[in-house]
Amino acid sequence: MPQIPMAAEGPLLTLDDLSIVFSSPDEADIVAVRQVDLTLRRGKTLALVGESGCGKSVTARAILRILDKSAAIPSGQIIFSPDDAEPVDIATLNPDSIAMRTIRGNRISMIFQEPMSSLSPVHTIGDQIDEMIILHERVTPKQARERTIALLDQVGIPGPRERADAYPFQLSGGLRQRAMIAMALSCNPDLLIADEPTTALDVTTQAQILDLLRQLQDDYGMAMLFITHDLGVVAEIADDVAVMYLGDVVEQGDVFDVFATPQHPYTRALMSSIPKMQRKAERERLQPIQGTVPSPKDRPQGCSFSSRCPVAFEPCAKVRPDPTRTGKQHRTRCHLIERELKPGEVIV
Amino acid sequence: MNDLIRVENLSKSFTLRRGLVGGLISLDALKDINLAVRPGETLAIVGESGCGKTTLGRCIVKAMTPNTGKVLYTPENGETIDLVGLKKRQMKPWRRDIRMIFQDPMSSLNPYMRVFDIVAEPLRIHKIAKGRELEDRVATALEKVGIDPAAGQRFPHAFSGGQRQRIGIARALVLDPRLVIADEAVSALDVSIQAQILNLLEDLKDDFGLTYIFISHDLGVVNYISDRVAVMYLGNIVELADTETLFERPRHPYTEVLLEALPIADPKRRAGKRTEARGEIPYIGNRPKGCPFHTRCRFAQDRCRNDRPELRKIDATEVACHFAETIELRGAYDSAPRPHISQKVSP
Repeated sequence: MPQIPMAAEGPLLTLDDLSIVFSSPDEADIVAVRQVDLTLRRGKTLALVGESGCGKSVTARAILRILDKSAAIPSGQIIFSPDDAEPVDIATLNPDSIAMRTIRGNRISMIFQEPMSSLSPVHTIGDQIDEMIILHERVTPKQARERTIALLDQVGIPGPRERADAYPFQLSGGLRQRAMIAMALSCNPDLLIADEPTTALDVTTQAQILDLLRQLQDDYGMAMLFITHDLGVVAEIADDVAVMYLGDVVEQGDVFDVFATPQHPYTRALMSSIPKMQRKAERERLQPIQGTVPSPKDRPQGCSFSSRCPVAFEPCAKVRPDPTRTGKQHRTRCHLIERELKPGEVIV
Repeated sequence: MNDLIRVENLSKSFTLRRGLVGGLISLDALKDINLAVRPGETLAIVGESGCGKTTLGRCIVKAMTPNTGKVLYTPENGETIDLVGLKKRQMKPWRRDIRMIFQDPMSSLNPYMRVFDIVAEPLRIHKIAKGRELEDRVATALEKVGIDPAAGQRFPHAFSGGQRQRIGIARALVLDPRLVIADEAVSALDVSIQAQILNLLEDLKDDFGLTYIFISHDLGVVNYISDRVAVMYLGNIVELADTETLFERPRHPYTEVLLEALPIADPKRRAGKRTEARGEIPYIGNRPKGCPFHTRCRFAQDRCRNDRPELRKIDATEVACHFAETIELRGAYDSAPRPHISQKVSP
C-alpha cells in the first residue's frame, strides 16, 4: 500500500474567489457560482452540501475543467499543490491542454452519482480501468490488467479476476459504484472528487460505500471533495464542511463546529428540516424553509438567502455580506454575525 | 373497530422470459403477505429497492392483480369487500376511497394537461361534479395544498418539484379519499421542500381524517411520520411493530442493519467502521432457501438456512426470525456514538 507522506505544507487545493458564469446567446449571463473560497486539506475530506441548483456540482466540475462549453471562469484561482510538483492554477489552464490532461483522472479523479451512465456499457469494466492506467502510465496491457484486478479486489469486488471481464450491466448498483471507485483510484490520485456517490444507492449499500471510501482514504492518503445533499452523510464522512446556497458558500468550517453551532440562518434551517431520530414524545414539528430556491436569474441583490431568510433585516436585501470569521476555521456570510445586538434583543 | 384494509396471504409473482429461447421463469415479488391497516393510522412500509414495497402498494390499489390472497377493504357502510376479485367496473367506486401519490412529480403529471384539468380529472371520471361546483372543488383542493388556484391554467412544467408534488397530492385529495398510499412521495425532493411536504401530509391527515400507507426507504422520515412500521425484505414482511417499539428495540437482524446504516446528521454520533451490512441483497429470482436474510445475517444458524421463519408475535412486535427472543439488537434512539458491533455472535 503506498503510504504517501505528508511532505508538502499547506492545503492541497485552494479555491480563491472563484466565480463561474454560464452564458447563452439569447439570455442574460447566469452566475452559477460566485466568489467561492474553499480549502482542501491534504488527506482530509471536505463536504460540499446544498440543495439542487446551489452550484456544488458546477464547482467540482470546474476543478477538473469539465464544464460545459457555455461556462466560463471570469475570476478566481484554483491552486492545486501536489506533494511532488509545483503548484498550478487550474483556472488558467486550457481544458484540453496536456497539462490539464495529466491532472485530470491522474492527480485528481472523480466518481459520479450514477455509475450506470458514467461507465461505458459496451466495454468490460476491466478494459475501462486498464485504459485509464495505460493512458497515464507507461505499463504493458498485462501489467495494467494485474493492477486492475488488484484494485477491484481492494474495493471489495468478489472474484475480481472474473469480474474484470464483466460488463457494467452485469453488476449490481453497489458493485458498479465500487468498480467506478477502482477506476478513480487507478492512478493513485491526490484528490478524489465524489459527486453524490451514494445518492442512487440503498442505505445498506451506501453505508458500505462510505466505509470503503474512508478505508481507501486511510490507505492512500488522498484528499476527498465529497458533494452531497444529505447532512447525514456529511456528518458521517466529512472533516470540513461548506454549505452552499444559490452559488454562494454561506458557511464553512470544521464539521463538528458547524453541526454544533451553525451560524448561518440557512444552515440552521437545513438542519431543522430533517427529521431527528427521536421518540414520539420528544418529536417536534419540522420547520421547513418557506418558499423555494429562486433561480440564479432572480437572485436577490444582497444576501442570496435574504428572500427566504426568517431573520432578514434592513441591509440583507441590498448589501451582500462578506465572509466573517465565526470561530477557528469557521466562516459565515451573514450580516447578523457582524451586527451588534441591541440590549435585550434576541435572535431566534 | 374494523381494519380499513386487511391483506391476507397475498402473493404476487412476475413471469420473465429468460433470454430469447430460454424458458419462462417466475419471480416472487411478494410472498404470503399479511398486513392490516387501521383507520386513522400512518402505516409505513420500509425496505430497500426490490423488496416489494411498491408492488404491495400497487396490489392494494389494484394497479396490479396479485396471484393469490385477499385485499379486504371495509368501506364506510361497514361491509367487507375483497378487492382482488372485483372487475374493473365493480372496483370503480372504491377507487374514490383509495388514492395514490407517486414519487416522481414530473412523470406522474401529464405534461400536456393544465393543472386545473389534472386535478379535475378524477371528479369528471367519477361524474361527481361539473361546472361551477367542479371549479370550486378543484380550487379548494389546490388551496389546501398551498397552490394558488389562479395558477390552474398553467402546465406542470411551470412549477417546481415541490409544487408539482403538491399538485399530485391535490389530485389524490379532490375525491375525499379515506386511504392515501404515498409511494416514496418525498424521496425526490430537496430536504427543505421535503419538510414542507411532510408537514402538509400531516395537516391534511388531521383535516380530512385520512389513513396513510407511507412507502419509503428513509427511516428518518418514517420515524417522524408513521405510527406503525412494516419492514420488508425480498418480498417478505420480516418485522411489524409500532414505530417507537421498532426503533427502540428492533427484533429482526435486518431491521437493525437498516437502522445502523442510516446516516445521522450529527458528527458526534459517527459510527466509524461498520460491517453489519455484509454482502448485498440477493437477486429476487435467486431467493435464498430458508430465511431470506440468512445470507447476510450475523446470527445465521443451520436452521435459518433450511426453515423459513413465519411472522409471529413477541410482545408488541410481529417478527419473522427463529431467534428473535434470544438475540440482543440495538435500537436507533441512543444518543451515544454507535459502537462497532463485534464479529459474529451466536444466539
